[in-house]
Amino acid sequence: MNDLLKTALIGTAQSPPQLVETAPPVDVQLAGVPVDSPEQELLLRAGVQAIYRQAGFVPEQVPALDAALQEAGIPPGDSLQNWLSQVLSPEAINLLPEFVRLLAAAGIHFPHPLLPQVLDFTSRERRDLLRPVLGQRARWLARFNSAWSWVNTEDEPVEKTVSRLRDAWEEGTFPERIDALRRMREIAPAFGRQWLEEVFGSEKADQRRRMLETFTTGLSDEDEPLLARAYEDRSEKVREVAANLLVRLENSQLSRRMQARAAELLAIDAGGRLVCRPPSQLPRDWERDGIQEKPPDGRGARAWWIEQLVAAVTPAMWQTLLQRTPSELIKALSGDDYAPAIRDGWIAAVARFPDRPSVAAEWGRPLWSWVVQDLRTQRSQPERRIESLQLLARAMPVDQREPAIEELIRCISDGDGFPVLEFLQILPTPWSTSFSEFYLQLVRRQFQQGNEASMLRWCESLLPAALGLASECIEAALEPWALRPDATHARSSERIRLQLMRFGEVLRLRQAFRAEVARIRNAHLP
Amino acid sequence: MIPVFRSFPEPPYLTLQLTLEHVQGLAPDEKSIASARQLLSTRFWSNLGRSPQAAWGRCQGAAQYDVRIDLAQFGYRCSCPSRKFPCRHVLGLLLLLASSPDVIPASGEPDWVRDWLNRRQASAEKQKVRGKQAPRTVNAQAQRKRAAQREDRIQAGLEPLKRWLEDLIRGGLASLESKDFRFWEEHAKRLVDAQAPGLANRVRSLGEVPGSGADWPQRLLDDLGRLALLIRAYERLAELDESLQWDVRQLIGWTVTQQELERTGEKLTDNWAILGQREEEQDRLRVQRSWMLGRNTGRFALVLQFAPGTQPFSESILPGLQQQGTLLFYPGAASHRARWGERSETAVPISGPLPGAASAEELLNVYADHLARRPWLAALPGILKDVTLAGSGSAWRIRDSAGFGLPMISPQPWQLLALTGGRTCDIAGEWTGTAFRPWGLACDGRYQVLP
Repeated sequence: MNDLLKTALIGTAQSPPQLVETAPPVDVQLAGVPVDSPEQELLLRAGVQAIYRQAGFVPEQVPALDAALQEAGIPPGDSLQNWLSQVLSPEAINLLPEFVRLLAAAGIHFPHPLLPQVLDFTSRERRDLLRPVLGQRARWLARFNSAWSWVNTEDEPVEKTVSRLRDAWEEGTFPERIDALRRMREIAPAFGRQWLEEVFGSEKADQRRRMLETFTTGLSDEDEPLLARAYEDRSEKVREVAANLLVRLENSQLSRRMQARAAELLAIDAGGRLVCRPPSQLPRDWERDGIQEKPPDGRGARAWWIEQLVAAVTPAMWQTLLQRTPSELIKALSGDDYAPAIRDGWIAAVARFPDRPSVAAEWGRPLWSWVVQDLRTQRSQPERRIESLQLLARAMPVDQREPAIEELIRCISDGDGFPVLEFLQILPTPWSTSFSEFYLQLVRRQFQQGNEASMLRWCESLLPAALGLASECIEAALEPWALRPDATHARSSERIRLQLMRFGEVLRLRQAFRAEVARIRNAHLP
Repeated sequence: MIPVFRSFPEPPYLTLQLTLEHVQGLAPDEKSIASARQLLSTRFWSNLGRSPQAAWGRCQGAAQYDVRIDLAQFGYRCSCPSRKFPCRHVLGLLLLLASSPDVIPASGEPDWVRDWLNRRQASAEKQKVRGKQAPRTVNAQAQRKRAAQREDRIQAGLEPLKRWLEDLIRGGLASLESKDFRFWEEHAKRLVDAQAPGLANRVRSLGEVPGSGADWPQRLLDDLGRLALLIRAYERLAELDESLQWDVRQLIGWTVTQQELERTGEKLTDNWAILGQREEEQDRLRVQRSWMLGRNTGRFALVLQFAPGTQPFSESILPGLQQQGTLLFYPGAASHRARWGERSETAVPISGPLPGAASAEELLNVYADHLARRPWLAALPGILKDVTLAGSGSAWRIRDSAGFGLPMISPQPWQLLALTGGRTCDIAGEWTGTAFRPWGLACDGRYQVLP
């Protein structure tokens, strides 16, 4: 600290100024300048000194950085960059997945100026989507910002990943710890289990529950001891999560008890019919294993116990036990008083055992058709059946969803208030050509022949459809649309016209993007 | 009709070659551009059209609005009641023009557009005439009298200011850390009353220094010292060079009148590249600073515009473009401040190599030279040639080819890093005495403005 500053800080009232100490040029500048007071002189000297210091800035030598490696991919050009920047804006319709996949397939890298924006993405899904098109520039940028390290994790050696996750688990915030645990369960479930075992006794109930929930990833029989411990937990919520996981382990003690109870419940009688013999009182040991006694409103108590029990065993057990296919079992059950409860139990079980894809594949569609038939014959209170269908649609293998939803739509196409939109959104995009054609045909017919309410309902499906339609069907979708002229009020037809316009815009943008990607790729072909 | 999105053809008919970035630059805020994007389709538009002079359309918002854009003498008008300028309808039409110009058919201007263009033309001419006539209407004697009165008030304000500064030194700067803004504001107000707004602003900004970073005592003492020098310079104004006199008077708060500017200002015609732009709030006014570089003369210019609240700036200055025109420079030593005289109707993106300093040292020498002529200089514009970025974390430097690095002020170095990838480029910006604030960079033969 120089003398001027020292004096100024303390104040001349405390420490009389000693002003001879400034550098020679300052003295020269101020020579012969009259001053009224020592304070005035100090200020003038400080001013001159400040300007000298300002003029005398000396830059330091700094080490150079390695530049980013040349991109292996093809540069995207301005048009693609503009369109991508449009679809990146938060209010835009989600075309990013399709566009990024097109870039990836053509070997075009993501535009550099947009990198900081996408590197900030936090969702796992979007990161996985983008990783293949990020290229060298993004990897280079990630070196300088630890929040962007996800770009490079693909080529990170496993030991490094493990130690990074271990750090996050031990030192991170709670969400970071949960995330690290889940990642660890993906890579090496045993490590993850070990981590949780070490701290399980000392974490709070709510945190124990959240940590245990990550065990849906990498779940195996080896997890049973820890889950069994959690099943005895003080907290009811933790016990619930543990029970849920134990049930998914078909060889766990809990599963075996459930299976034994279930085996007593259903049997094939002499006439080949499936009959259900529920207990008249809820057995104490059922209750201990988490079967609730009191049914939700509108359901019988015994039906409710049955449903919970059936939902707790893998549907595959019934095939082995009763030597029937799922369709045969469903058929054999019809007419039984408890058929709806057993069906709901089966549906819940199908959704509960996602790691057994064969279960969903074999049971999903027959159960689906059953619910759809029900929906057609019993129009009242469709909510629970719709809920069941949504559970099933999500559990079903991807290739079964389109035919299933097609069946559903054919069946209810004129049904009032049916949430078509939500089902379309369960479909993976892009849709198949045949489903796209089915959709277009159906909606065109609705617009020409349907009543106003149904036209409006289908009109709301246009935007998801614009994202979903197979690219081969875009031309057909852009053909002029005819509306039944007499069926609608001016307001409704305006609404439909508007949605059709947006539909057309999205499709044309997809078409243009696709064409530009092809043009760039062709221009770079040798 | 549904708009066709295609790759962008070069629109030869557009005098103003708009890019999406330019339009984004025009938007008053993020939200406006987002809501304008929703208008990016012809279904909201009817009567769309464009001519070499203008573009227009009717936009269906809450009601129907007439949107007109003057492409030649850039300007716009929308009949909507929005208080944002430009409003989302104008931005929407500009976006449409920039992203898919082929959906807007070329045609002759309809009457409602033609009339507006004529009115604009007429008022522009009237303003020109008024500017020329102004000196005649001023009563020179009354003006001198007013100036003399003001001079008296300023002089009366200087004495207490000096005493107060001395008191600060007497009491010691250490005690100032605990003072709140009212302490500084009170003295600033007195200087406003003394009609020395330049000094008032300096006093006000002193209040931001105490407690701001470890070295605040040094910075505060530096600023106090500069202020003391300025007061001293004003007291002995007659002894200074004429050009420095202009500077000192402007720093105290005297404005350069229209006649003075016309009489003494230097006129310079060049192809002006608008390299950077910044907007900040100052006393409820929005101040827009646009830095320009004359492509032939190599002269830098700073054009300031002021607007209250959310009102638009009177002239549209789009960074990233260059325009032929004449600037009128304010008098003063090595002054950059200027205003537009006449400018051409066309603007094109900045291209081609930019002149600049080959090393950090060269820029610093130019800075020292300017400082010698104009000791209160805040920032010097410059272009650093063949530089790279170096650093890590939040401390980034601009490194010249000899390996010397200048600290960089940039809230986000990421955009610069993403654009350059560590390769050599030319960076335009301003040197503030302690750090370089980048405006934009030239790399791969094109100039990009930083957000």
